[in-house]
Amino acid sequence: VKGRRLLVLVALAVLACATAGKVREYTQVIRQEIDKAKRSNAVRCAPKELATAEAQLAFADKELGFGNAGRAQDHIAVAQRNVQEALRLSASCAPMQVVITKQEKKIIEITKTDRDGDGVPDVDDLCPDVPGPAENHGCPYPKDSDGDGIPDDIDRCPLDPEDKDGFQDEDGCPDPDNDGDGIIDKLDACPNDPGPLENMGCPDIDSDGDGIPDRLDKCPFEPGPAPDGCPKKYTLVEVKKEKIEIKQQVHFATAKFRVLPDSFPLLNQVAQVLQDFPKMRVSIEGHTDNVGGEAMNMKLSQRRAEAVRDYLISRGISPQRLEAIGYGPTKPLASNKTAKGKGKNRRTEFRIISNE
Amino acid sequence: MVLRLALATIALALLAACGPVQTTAKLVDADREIEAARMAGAARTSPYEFTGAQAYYAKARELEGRARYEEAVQLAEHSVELAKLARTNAITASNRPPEAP
Repeated sequence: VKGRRLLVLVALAVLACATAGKVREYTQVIRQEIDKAKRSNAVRCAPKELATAEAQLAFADKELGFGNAGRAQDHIAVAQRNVQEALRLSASCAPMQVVITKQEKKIIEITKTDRDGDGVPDVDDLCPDVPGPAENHGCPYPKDSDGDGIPDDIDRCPLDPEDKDGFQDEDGCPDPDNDGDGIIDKLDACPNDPGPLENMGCPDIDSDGDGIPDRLDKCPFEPGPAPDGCPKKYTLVEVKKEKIEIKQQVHFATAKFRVLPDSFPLLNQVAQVLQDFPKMRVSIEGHTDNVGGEAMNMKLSQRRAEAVRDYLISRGISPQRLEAIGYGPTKPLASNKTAKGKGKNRRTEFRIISNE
Repeated sequence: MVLRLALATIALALLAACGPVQTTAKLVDADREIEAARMAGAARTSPYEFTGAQAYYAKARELEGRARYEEAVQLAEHSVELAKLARTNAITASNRPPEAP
């Protein structure tokens, strides 16, 4: 009996040792699984299960230390259940990690197109399809065929260069004869003032106004008929710049407008002056004193001026060159209170209207 | 002689009672700390430490029942450490500003 009991005890001891060794192997396995669960973020995904597994594993170690393999096995079983659950939960739980990805910034790139490739973006290019410098807003400078600096598009003479002589230089056309006097500017002493060739293209000057330019007028400061421009030696009249001055009065019949014959020589010389100066136009002006009514004097002076005009016409002077005006007593030269004054006021004047 | 024997018996008895008393004190500490952690919301905000504290406390009680006082005290102390840690985590979590939606 003692031998059997001893055998049973030995068998139990061997069995216990074998169980404890197996449990230790299990604890190693469980420990590895717990580490795996921790790496799988079980602390966050399955904290209760992980904590329980760890505790149960520690308890199993304790129990093994006590030699209580059975109780240790119980803890191992609980630990294994929990670590498996922890692994399962961790597998379905996204790891807590912040993934900093380089977020590509969406860059809205506004590309400035330049179709003609002239360096001026189309948005600023007034001629986006034709290359041109930036100074001209991307447009080509217009062609200048004649090279006068005026582009063809505004050059009225695109093939003839502007002469740039200070006269109408903007139109692009050359102006060989600025003043149009028929003498080209290069030979014209006065290129901008018309004048005859004889005067080097400069305008003639007629100082005495007799219609004969000074260069042809032998008496440039005294009006005189052609061809020399010198005054003729009229005895009864004198040609002045403003009027034909008569040296005696024209006589009329008393209170009438008929010219008395003694005035014919005088009027003949007036007619001669008009013939000598064919471009001269004169105004025949009749004046009276204040004797009699003004209306009557006005009428009389008009009739007398017309009588003189008629006489000159009869002497071959064109009526278009003659005007007749009666002023009556309105333009006295002297006082009408004296006989002498009245005599001065009764007069006929020949005022030169024009001589050209 | 009798007196000596009596003193020796009392001393032995006191020594023998020291283990359970100390274990009980540690278990009370552990229980108090666990309760404090629970009040702080550690079960929700620090479940890993809180669960560990509870497990160690339970095992300590078990060992106490088996008169494994020394081991029971060790586990109870560990339970106290875990409970304190769980409570600290819970307080920290409650002071953290809520996450933006």
